[in-house]
Amino acid sequence: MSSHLSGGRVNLALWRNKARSDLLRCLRDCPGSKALVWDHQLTGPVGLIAEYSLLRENEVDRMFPLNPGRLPIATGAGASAIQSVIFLVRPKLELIEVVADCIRKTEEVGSRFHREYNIYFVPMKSTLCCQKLKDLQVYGFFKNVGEYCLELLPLDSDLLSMESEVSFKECYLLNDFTTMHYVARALMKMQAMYGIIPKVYGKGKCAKTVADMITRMRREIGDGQFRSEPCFDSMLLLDRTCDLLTPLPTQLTYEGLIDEFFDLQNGTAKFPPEKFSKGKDSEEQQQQKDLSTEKKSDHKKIPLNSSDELFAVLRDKNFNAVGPELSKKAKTLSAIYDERKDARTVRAMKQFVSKLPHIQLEKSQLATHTSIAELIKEQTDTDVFMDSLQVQQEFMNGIDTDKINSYVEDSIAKKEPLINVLRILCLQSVTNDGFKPKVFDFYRREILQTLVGPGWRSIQEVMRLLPGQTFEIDQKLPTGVEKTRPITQDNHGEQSKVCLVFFLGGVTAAEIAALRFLSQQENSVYGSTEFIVATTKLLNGSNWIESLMENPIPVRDDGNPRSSQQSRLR
Amino acid sequence: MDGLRILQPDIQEFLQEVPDNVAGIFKVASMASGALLYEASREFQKKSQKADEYIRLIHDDLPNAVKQCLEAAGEEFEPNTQKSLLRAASFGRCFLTNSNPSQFVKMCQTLRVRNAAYDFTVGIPLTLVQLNRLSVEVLIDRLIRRREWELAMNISKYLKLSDSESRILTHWACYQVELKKKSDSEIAASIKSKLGDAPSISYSEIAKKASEISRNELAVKLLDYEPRASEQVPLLLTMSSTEAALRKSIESGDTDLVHTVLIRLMKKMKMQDFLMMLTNYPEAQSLYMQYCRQEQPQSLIDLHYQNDNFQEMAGCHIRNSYEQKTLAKQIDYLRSAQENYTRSRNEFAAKCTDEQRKLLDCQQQIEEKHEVEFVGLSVHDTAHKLIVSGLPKLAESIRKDFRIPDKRFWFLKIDALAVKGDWLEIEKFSKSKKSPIGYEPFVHVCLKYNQNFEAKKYVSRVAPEKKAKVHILLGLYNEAADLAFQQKNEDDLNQILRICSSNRELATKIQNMKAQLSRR
Repeated sequence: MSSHLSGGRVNLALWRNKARSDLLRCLRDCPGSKALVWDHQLTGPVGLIAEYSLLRENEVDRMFPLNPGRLPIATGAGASAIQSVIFLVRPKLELIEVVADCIRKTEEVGSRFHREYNIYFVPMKSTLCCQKLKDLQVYGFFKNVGEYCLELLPLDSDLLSMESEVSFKECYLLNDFTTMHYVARALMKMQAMYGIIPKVYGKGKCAKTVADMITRMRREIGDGQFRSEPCFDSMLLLDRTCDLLTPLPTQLTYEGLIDEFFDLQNGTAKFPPEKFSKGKDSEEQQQQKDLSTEKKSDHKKIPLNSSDELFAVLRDKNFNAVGPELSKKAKTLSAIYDERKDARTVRAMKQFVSKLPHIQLEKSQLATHTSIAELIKEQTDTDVFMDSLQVQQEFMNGIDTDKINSYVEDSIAKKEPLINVLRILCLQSVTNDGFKPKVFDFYRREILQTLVGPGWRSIQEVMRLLPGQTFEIDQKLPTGVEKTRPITQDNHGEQSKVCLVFFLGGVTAAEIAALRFLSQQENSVYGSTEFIVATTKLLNGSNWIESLMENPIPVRDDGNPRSSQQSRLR
Repeated sequence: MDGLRILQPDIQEFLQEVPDNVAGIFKVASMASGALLYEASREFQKKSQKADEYIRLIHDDLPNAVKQCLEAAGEEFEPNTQKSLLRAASFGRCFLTNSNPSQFVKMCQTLRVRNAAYDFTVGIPLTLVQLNRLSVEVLIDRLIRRREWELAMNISKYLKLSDSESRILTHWACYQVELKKKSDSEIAASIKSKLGDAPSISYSEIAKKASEISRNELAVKLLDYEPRASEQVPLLLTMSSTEAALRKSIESGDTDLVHTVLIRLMKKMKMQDFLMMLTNYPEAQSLYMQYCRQEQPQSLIDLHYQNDNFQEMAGCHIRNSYEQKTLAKQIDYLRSAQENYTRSRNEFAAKCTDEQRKLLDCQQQIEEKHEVEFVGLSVHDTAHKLIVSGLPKLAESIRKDFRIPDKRFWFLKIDALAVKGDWLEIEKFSKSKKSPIGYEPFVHVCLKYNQNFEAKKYVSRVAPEKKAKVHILLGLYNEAADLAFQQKNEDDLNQILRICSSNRELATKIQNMKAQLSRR
């Protein structure tokens, strides 16, 4: 399951193994048969670290999503056996109330059996949360109050993400640098495993904050922990605010479009199931489904990473190049398949048969990606898509960015989804370096009158992002060069250099594609450098803007406590 | 047991059976290999050839001879004797091909340490057995107790015992702290200059000592040097240097630590003072605001009030207004929001809030009169619903009162009429004056409700460059192709081609058209 992580210059499978053993250590601290109660936001990320069977092996017998109300363990089969209840939650105050309610209701019913409660905060224990547990008088129930330090998730051989959608909002709007502290902690752990990174470059306020923190932490910890030979030659810390433009236009790479249309989360995208032949779900997926404790899944979930060889080829290509690539693949495959006709001798036959499993795997990959490409094409062929793309192009070429745009105006009048409208508006604003007051007020008013009835305040937060008017972007931020260690004399010979690029506040699939393209350029002006990308969140323009809203529009009803508040507002 | 110590008030004597190795070497006419090596070494220094003879006598037993000399050196107290024995061992080693030097080196080091402790100014005479039993660490501890920090330090540096180094420095610093004569700043400076940024030095431990003997100021000064905020902050809190604690926690970047301090401060200080203090620490203030947003919305308003942040206060009022159950209260909150927006000179927001209030008023009136639910809809949706409900005049007045732009009102009206199914009215409307949105939307809206016949009424009035597209929508591909050709629009041609690839006749026609276009 982790084979795709070890392919690069820096073996990220080691990172995953560390995360696995950390998780198991937490589990081992809780004796006997266990029931895990999940913060639903964590099922995806932890699922990447430990598959269901591993949890099973470690005596995790029941799993529940974290919801208010009694845990259904008292009645279910094997109720008597559960000895430890383990809550796995992010350190968020609103979740604490749910945990408290859950414990109280469960204890009210009482049980003949003794149960121990444990809570692990991911990635870090929080004083506020502990305080709240005490205030709600449930702190005493816990045998263990610990933390499970899972900050950066390995998604691919060159990609790590924290998958934290709040980080951009917290850092750049609310001035809360908690996630930057997590970033710094993660970087220290990385340096303990992969060696000190000799050169650190950065741009932006958050980048400086992180750089300061890691210098400081290094002084605190002392050098004893960083004995590994450096795997990275340098690190580049980049604030998302340095480039607000790129995520806004529609991404046009294959992976980018999958993200735009089918919501790529934790390296897995969801597709409408009709398009796919009813093959047996792979075992892995079955586990994934179990782990996310969803009762019924209306979508087909497909994990997308470089272990899928075809996807590795396609992911960074412009969508126009995907069709030809697929047909090329189909031709090669059928050519290989035709070899069987030439196989006259037993030996040749045997050779062919030995290739069969691989051919079949490739065939199923080809089928999957052809279906996905068809699904994407359905959308890219529409007028709506083409029109929107045209307007984006105009804005990016600086055409009429200072005027009220009729396409945008019509989109509002036609009541297109708010997010789409805001996205194109932000694009116009960024390309125009902020709106003139008249244009800004017109757009604001139009949106208020049409798209946002009650709850129109959310717009203010988003509009604050627009530069010029209400939000200032300081482009002159110094490039902080932190020399953490004299350059090591290790001679890498002709090997390329390895650079860790950390996008603080998120990065898009298309941007990663660009870096991969640079990685492949040998002997170019960039020198040959291999890039490993880390980020706080893999994002696209839509979910990025959504994360900035005060009440995110509920995409699905997932038992999030906030959704009840939402429905009251409607 | 290595011997007998005889302690007297002013002297100490040590009585010991002469160890075997020493006896073997120094006994008169001893033929032990060690003795021979010792003699050889002495002859060698005299540059006598007898050295060679002695070495030959030892022959195969040379490793043993070296070992004897080395161990004998360890038993001796007199540096000169030690030296000559070591010299002998060293001389012997020259004739050995592959001997491990580590034992020899270790003995030299141990002797050096032991001799240093043996010196009369220190006065810790130890035998080798004793020292090995005790370990160097314990010796260092004893030296620390005797305040022989310099020697202890030299020893640990010599033997590269970095753990001991920090222990010695910490102990030294703690002692300095207790010196009553010196001033706080003097002590802090001298400690800092000695200890520097040496890793794993616990300044907080030293500070704790200072705090215990109630030299709080000194403790604060010392804590300033502590790099680990997680050590520093709790101690600062216990010493009630709360602001320092807050400052340090902010510097660390560990927001959890900041929250720890804030919780403590909130309990200790008057709310007024607490909020006042926060104004000096913007980072902490942001975190506190975050906390309030989730836990205590009322405090958030207090905070904004204190900061004269009317903009944010208005935001809070608006949030509140949506949480009210009665319309009257909602309107009250909107009114206070409006006031605040005005005070913050955000005219746009003030005006919008005012309009929202008017809208609610308006909707309420309509509801009372016509018994249809309106409250909570946007301006756009209100006008839309009014048309659908057959109240076009009211819709018209909403349009005027809230200045809905022409274009949008047209979109809104034809869609609402289509929902109502009033196709006649749509047609009438289309003819009322020249449409500001063109006639394409009319076609769209008809098709949305599958009114192909109605849709065709508007086709002729659609702008020429959009005609081909409209025909495509209506399924009139042949005409669409002609129109696209007239407009020289290759994109449209391609689109038709994609849809009609199975219609061979049309496909060929389009291919021809494309060929013609590209020729020009």
